[in-house]
Amino acid sequence: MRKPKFNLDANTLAFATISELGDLLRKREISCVELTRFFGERLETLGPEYNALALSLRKDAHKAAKDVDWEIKHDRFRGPLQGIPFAVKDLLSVADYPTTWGAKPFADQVFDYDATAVHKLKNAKGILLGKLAMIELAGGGGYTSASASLQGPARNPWNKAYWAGGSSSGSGAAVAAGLVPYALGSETSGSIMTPASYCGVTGLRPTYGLVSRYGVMSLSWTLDKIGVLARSAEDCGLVLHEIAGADDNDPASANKSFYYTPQYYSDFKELKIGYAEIDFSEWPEQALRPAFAQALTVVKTLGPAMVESKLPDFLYGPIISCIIDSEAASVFETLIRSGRVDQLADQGQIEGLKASMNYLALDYLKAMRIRTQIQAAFRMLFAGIDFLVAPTKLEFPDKVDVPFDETPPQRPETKGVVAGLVQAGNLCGLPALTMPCGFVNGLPIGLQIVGRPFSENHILALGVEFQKRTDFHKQHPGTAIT
Amino acid sequence: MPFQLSRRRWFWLMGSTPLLAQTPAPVVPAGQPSQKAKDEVRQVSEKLAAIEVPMNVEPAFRFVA
Repeated sequence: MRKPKFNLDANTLAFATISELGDLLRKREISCVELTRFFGERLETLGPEYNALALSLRKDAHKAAKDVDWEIKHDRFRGPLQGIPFAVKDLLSVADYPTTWGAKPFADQVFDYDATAVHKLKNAKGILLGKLAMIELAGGGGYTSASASLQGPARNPWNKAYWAGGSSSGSGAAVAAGLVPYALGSETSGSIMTPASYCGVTGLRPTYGLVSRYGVMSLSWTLDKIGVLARSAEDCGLVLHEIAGADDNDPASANKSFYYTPQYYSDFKELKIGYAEIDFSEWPEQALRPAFAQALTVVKTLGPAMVESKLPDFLYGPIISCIIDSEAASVFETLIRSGRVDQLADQGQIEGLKASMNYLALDYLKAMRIRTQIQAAFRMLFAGIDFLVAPTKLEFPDKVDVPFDETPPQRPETKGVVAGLVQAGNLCGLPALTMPCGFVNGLPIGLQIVGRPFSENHILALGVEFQKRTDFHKQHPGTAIT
Repeated sequence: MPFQLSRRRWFWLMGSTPLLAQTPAPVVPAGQPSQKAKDEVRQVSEKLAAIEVPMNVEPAFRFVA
């Protein structure tokens, strides 16, 4: 690998935030071509080590970078994402390049248009460096091991024996390893929150409908969302600012814009934060509890009123399973009926997708009616609090070389907030942020904040404040190339 | 006894013949799912069936004319 010409430490550059990289570009301490070459080489060299890279787009990136250098030379500054490299999960289409959805039956699929989110980032003069690995079909049907991907099991940059999480696996691994400053991912039920938490990066799941899904693989129309994995809450806000907005091409578009203005949400003493002590002290795996307790202490130091809370009592798991599986059965009906589904890597997914054809209309409608009740119950819950805070994941990631352990872990009978929060948050389309909040045995753990629909600025402001008081998001694994 | 066809039955048969002709042959998935996968779906269905929802609760999606 060539030694970079600029006079900057490679580690500093690889793990810099969007704002830091933007400053370097505007001060002309580094050119956009140099920055693109630096991250492009990292992505191509280290990406395969983590099974994180689906497709490198370095040639196009180089051309785009030259354009940005010309603009900067002529003092044409377009915004914070100008000249910043990024990559996207391989379920977003990029015109004229393969979009595989991480699945063998779609390995040769090419669209002739960019997904709206990709188009918006290119318009903001972001530099698209590549497409990132993912769990095949975003996990539709239910996968049984980390190997359920065209690229093989995504390895965690903190310890390659462990999984990076899914289904936005490559997005989590690539950001954590400093291969790109930020990446787009998607979430139907946990697919941003899980890899962000396992990989120790900051992940934002926006409100349903805030970011267009045009040009994105459908798994479940009423649940799919596009979001961001990045180095900090602030970076997530900067990216959301660009990708959010109305889109006539997405029937679920909320027709809302998003302007990142965290400065208007700074009085944390006015906040009421819902949480459950038991989520931090008893629900996580034993080894993780002290770190989660410490994270909760940091939240308390911000001065909000802490309100002991409990999630409304619903069968979140079966309800979201029925909705995802029923919609996925319809989305992938041709794949399933044709038998091409058998080409998938994960046998559990093959069986699950076939079995999902057995759901009745009655089941789906019942689940969607209960979903109405869940939304009503959450409106009541959020009438008394501003946010819910809980651990993002309660356990260490699985190892990459063994099937997932399906044995239900021993958990307390009493439920607080964390049990079912990811499913409930997705069922209600609520925004959520996960941030690294500690390390145990060399692996990161995450804390999630969930808020009312379209409360992203408020959530991000809380995240920014948490990250001012901690430095977990500034830690990085030893992957630097020198 | 001679076979008698009522007018109603006659019209039903006449009316339904083209429909029957248009009905596609049932398509069977290339491979059947495993019993375990089927059981998981059945268990979810049973759990949902056990929940009572008031009739005025509509599904969480909107039809817009």
